[in-house]
Amino acid sequence: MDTLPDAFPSTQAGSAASYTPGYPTAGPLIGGENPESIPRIKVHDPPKFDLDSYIANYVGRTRFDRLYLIGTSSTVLATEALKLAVAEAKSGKDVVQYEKAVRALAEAAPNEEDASLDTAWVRNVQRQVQMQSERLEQELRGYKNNLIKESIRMGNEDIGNHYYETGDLVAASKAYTRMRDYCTTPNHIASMLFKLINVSIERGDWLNVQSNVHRLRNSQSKPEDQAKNQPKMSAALGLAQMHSGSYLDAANSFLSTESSLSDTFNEVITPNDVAVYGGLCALASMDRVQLQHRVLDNSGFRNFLELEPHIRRAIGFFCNSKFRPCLDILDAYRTDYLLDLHLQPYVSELYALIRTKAIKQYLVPFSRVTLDSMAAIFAPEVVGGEAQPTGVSSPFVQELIRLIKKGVLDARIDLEKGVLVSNQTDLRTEVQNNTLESLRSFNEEAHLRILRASVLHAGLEVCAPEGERRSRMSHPSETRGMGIAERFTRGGLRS
Amino acid sequence: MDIVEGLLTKSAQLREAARLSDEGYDRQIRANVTSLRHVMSRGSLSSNDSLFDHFDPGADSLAYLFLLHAQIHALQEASCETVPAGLLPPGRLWSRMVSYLKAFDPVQVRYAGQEWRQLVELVGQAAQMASKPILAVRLVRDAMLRLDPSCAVFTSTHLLLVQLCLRARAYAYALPVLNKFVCHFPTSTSHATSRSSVVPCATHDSSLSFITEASGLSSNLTYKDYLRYFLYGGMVYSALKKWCKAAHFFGVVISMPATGSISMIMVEAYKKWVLVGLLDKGKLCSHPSMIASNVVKIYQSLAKPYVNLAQTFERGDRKALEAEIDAARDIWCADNNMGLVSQVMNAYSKHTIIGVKKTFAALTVTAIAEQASPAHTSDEATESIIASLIMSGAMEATLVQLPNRNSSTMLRFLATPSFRQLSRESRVQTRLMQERHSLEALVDSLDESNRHMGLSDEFVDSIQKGQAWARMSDVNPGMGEDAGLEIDEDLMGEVS
Amino acid sequence: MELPPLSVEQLSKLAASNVPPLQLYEILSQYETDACLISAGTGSLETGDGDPQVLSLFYSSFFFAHLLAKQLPEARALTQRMPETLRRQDPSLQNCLTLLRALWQTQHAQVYQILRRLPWPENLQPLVQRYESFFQDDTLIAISTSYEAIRPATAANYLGLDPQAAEQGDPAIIEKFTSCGWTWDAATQLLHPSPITIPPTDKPSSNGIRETMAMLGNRGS
Repeated sequence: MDTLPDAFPSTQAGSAASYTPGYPTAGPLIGGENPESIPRIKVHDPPKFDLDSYIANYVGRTRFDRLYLIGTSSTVLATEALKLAVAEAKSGKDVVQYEKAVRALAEAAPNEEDASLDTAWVRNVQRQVQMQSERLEQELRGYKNNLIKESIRMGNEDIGNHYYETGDLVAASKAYTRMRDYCTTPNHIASMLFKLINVSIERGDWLNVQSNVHRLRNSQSKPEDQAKNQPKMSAALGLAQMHSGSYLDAANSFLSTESSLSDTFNEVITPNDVAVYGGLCALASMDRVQLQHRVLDNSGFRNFLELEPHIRRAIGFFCNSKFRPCLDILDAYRTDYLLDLHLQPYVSELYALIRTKAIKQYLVPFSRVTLDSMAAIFAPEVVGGEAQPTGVSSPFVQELIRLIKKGVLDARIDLEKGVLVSNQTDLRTEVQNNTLESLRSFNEEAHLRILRASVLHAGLEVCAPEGERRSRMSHPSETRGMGIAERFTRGGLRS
Repeated sequence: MDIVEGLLTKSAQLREAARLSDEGYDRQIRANVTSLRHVMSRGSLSSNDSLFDHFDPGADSLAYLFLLHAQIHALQEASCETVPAGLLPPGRLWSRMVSYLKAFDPVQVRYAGQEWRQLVELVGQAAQMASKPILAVRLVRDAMLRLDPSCAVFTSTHLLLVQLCLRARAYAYALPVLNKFVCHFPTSTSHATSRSSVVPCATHDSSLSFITEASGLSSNLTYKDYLRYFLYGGMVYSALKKWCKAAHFFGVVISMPATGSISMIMVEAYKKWVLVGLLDKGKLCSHPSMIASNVVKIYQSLAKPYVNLAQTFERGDRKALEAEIDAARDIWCADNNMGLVSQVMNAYSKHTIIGVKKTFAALTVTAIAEQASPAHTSDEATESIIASLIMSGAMEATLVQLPNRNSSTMLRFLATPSFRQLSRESRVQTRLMQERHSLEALVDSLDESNRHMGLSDEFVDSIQKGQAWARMSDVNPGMGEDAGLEIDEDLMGEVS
Repeated sequence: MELPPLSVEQLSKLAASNVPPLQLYEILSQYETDACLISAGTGSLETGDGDPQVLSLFYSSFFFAHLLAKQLPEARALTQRMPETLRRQDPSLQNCLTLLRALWQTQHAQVYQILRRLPWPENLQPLVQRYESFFQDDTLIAISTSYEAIRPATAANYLGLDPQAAEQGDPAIIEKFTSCGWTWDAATQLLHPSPITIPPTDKPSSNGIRETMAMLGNRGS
């Protein structure tokens, strides 16, 4: 009776265990594991966006998560964002969320009116929630007694929605999963899976997001429904892949997201986010030809890029080998991205990848490049400030050393002439050395093999002590099970 | 005196017979040995020293040998000791033995292998009894080379020699034997070769034809004998800092076939093999391919501190390496490996400096000191370390001093300019020739094995390997070493 | 081949002769058993040596023969084989030990000092001097391929010449280097060595490897 093609075994158990609902300082659970151990990144520069219009792009619980993240990360926007977060929580039914926001605000701006807990509201909401939970469970029991599938499905959905709104994500996830057996149409299944995806995204359970996307893809929906669902599926998958560190896969998922996404997925991701996430992942994982071909020339993705023209410009610069302007743009937006719910943990890694790739691409056409000209592009702030911008202990040269040692750059530093020299193998020397080495190792191995053959032939294999007497019978079959039996009397030699 | 007369006649006959055909000579020697053994067993050869004057240790090798034994036997009887005081250097009998071993006829003694070997062993024992093992080292070595210049068939004397060398701390003396490839063991029957005669006195392609189990030229062997030979041989090479050879010898020990259990000798060799690999290559080397993986696991678990040491070395953490060497001091000492371990830190510095060329094409000595050296060595000291690495050929680089005393010397790892290439290439040439000679020796041994044992699995393996090589050189005529060598001739022309 | 018996005269003759290093090494190594017997022999029991003079000369000469044959590790082993009491008391053997240490640590300046300043016995002198010029030549060759530019003082230090005079550009010292093809840049006060190579004694054939490969290939067929 299972109508769902289970592409993945359930991973809920494992990830649910690492989720601690209502933990006071738990943020929006990025990464899904041990949220409390991730130190909050602090951002001191003002972002380019306007908070009000930014948050207006989103709906649902992600609004709170985003406001809370900005409020706890940005020192500039802390008060403003947290006040909005408190208001956002108070308009809903999630008491834990509200308490968390108030606590954070009290820390950032203790004198604010909203910084003290509205205990009356809390008690009231808690009571209401409690009552509604009981009512909904009661109703569901009734439906179950009547054995009407559709009612049971909807009853479970109502319960799931209720728990979701009140912040009990584990219970919500369980309720949505229970809907599964009562789904009668592909549409039911799709809707249920999207509910599960949303909950999983909020829980940071990225494996579950991916497996539910695969279930959606394999479900027997009508083609037009599939087409309708495609943008959300791709975006959700891209998000999950980005969180798993598979930037190339993530880039491909975002790139294949159709522009019909529009504002249909605002409870998770906006088209602007798709442009930024996709653009950065692509920059970090694709070479210049791929970027040109699959990003800039991609008519579908162009619609997203138009929303974030600076990403488009950055990619364009990279393709034209104008790395400094490209990196400048990224630097200018670093603050914004550090305040993004999904991007924050990956900004430094993505930026480092892009930078490394730029250095590699920069070197491609040259057999030697002066360190000064490289530093001018990749470490301009240093060139002005330091006495020896390309000395061995300068940060830029140290960065190059690390890249060479990791095998990322196939080049060597010439500190005498101040250049980076690409490695050209001295074919002649190499051939000679290889010949010598392979002849030597061939000789050694040949000797070993001849000797082994002679040992076997003479029946002189190493054997257990009781068999120590030389047996003249050859042992054609070599049994390989060996123990350590024999003791070698030490010191026989060393007087 | 009639016994002496008889012996003299026999010896004279033997001298005559040397001019006969191999078969005739063979018959004569056999007759001679039989009668000598007979005389010996009757004990009628008195210990009269003047008897020796009638015989020449070279031409009358057999008679002389038995006379020596008669004298030794008499002394042994009198003293009830295996090595009586009368045998010890610098006694008269000792000198007789010495001059005999310097002059014996290598063909005649093939027929009295046991007596010959016992004499060699007595020399070894006597020298050690006198606490002067050095006295026997050269003697035993030269006797071995005299008997069998190829030294390719393992005998108990091989082991005796390396033991003597280690005890005497006279390592280089062992090299003429150690440098030969031991490839065979005495076999029970003299395998009939298809060609020519099979009598021991004939000229043989391989000493395997006359060093048989029955010849007595080796005592009965067990696996411990050859394992020890290669272990001790590796130790001799280690003492001479010939790491590559040492690694090969230890490699032989650890890759010998075993049924049921491995020997502690092999574990001991494994420990040294790990250390020598670090000293030579600066890394944990990969095992010879024929060692079964479960055996490797046994080695690794029994030699855990060594494997850990090698891994720390590879990780490039100087402090951790120092700490590890210090922490396991008891283990190194108990295993008698402190000598090798104490060279590990130096090897580490050396390989770190050599490794700098992977990152840099040129840098100052000051910078290299920051990158690779332990804290606070002066630039001058670092430069002198680097200079000696270059001079010893361990590193290909050049140093460039600047006019100013205070500016740091530059170290360049650039592509070798052609005029400097010459000396490097002649070194490579020489080493290629050495490898070639090794290969020729091995191929001869392979032929011998082929004739003697037919095709075992191991043997087929090595043949397949050979075929793979043949194919490789077929496919790749331009990329082979030939291309390199032809250019070389031009270069030689330019310079001369 | 019977050698004349080991004696001070024979050793002095060998030390003064110009026998090639390996041959010298071989001849002396044949005397080692004799020396060993002498040391165990008739001498007084207190010192444990037979004839200290001949033994000292023998071990010193043999030590230098090791150095000339570039057998440093074995030279070290030899010092451990020297008769214990003699090694501790004999000045010549003591000098050998000091020299070994300097060589082991590649302290060039010290090596020259030890060879020149320390009192070596008269009949060993020819070997000491021979080794000094051997060491000097060897180092010169090594520097010529290791350095592209070198200050005269450093070069002088390596070769046991007066570094102070070299630093002042003493023409006699500079001339020593320019005579082996090095160039002297008076403006920068630097010497530019030109690599000295010794042609290999046996002319290697370029066919060697081809034949070797062919030999290898034929095994299988």
